[in-house]
Amino acid sequence: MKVDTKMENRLDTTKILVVDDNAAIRKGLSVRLRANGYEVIFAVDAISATAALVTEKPDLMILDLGLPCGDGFVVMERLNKHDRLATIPVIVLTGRELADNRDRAMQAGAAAFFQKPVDDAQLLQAINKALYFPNGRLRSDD
Amino acid sequence: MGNLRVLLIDAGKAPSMPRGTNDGRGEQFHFTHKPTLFEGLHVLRELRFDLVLLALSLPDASASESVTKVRKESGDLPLIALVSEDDATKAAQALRLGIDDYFVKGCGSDSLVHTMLHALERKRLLADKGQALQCVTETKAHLTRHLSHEVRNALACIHQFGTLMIDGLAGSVSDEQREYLCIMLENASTIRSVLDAALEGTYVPESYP
Repeated sequence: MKVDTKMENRLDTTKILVVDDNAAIRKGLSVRLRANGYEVIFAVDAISATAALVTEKPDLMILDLGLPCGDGFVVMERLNKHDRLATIPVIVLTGRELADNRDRAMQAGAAAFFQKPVDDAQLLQAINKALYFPNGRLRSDD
Repeated sequence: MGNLRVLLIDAGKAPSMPRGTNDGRGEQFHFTHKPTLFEGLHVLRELRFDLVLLALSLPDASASESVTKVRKESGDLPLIALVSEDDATKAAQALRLGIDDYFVKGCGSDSLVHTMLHALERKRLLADKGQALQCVTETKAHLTRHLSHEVRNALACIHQFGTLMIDGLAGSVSDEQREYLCIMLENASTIRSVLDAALEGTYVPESYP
């Protein structure tokens, strides 16, 4: 499954930060994203996620909500406090229930919200949209 | 139980119990007596009580109006109607409107004490039951959230690695292997649908009668 985009030449340099405490999820996402030309870096908790945002300056972050050392909302809160980082699109990918979490995530500035397991095509489309059409926001039921 | 503050709303005289009645088990009843619904409601708003005794034949309100208004103002307080011997119909009606019990006037102070203590105890038991139920509900909700998270992560892994294999990202896949992987993914999808429906409370098993 490849992303069909006119911007394909830009994918080579697109860096995605995957934040999830589940090693298998990270592995699966990395294979899928790398197969689509993205560079993938990882963080396993809220602290390492914040550090990676500052030091690695990713182009996009895929963020789990249930994390050690502060949840995904804490990461988004920290992100939004830094002008330089606040423009990084965030796609929430979580095992948590929709109720409350989806609206809260979208209000915190998420570009899209998906509940696990996510359809690969939908996720890749959301990544593409968030990177190249950052003003439009997606929800998993869009 | 200690001191119990009782509001008596009755146009007649107070029950034949001295002020501060001690029933022998350590409970003392302190009565505040008001002869009209208007005065009773007023004092109910101003002071704190443990129980309300309400006569159903007040000069300024019908029985149903008295019960409805006192019940609204008294919240969860035990509410006991005072009725005369020929008021059985009124008592039944009052029970439907929200009184906790009724007492037939003239049955003696021991019987009234017993009725009041019974109503208080029943309220306390109901409150304990309500708290226990709330605790169970909260625990269940917490466990459900945890279960949802765990199952979704496991399903995500099955889905991710299954689709990676079908897409050939872990090497070539034979047609037979592809068929099996598709079966696996379809069933993972079924689990997800069942989980979603169960959490939303909309799940109905196919064989459900």
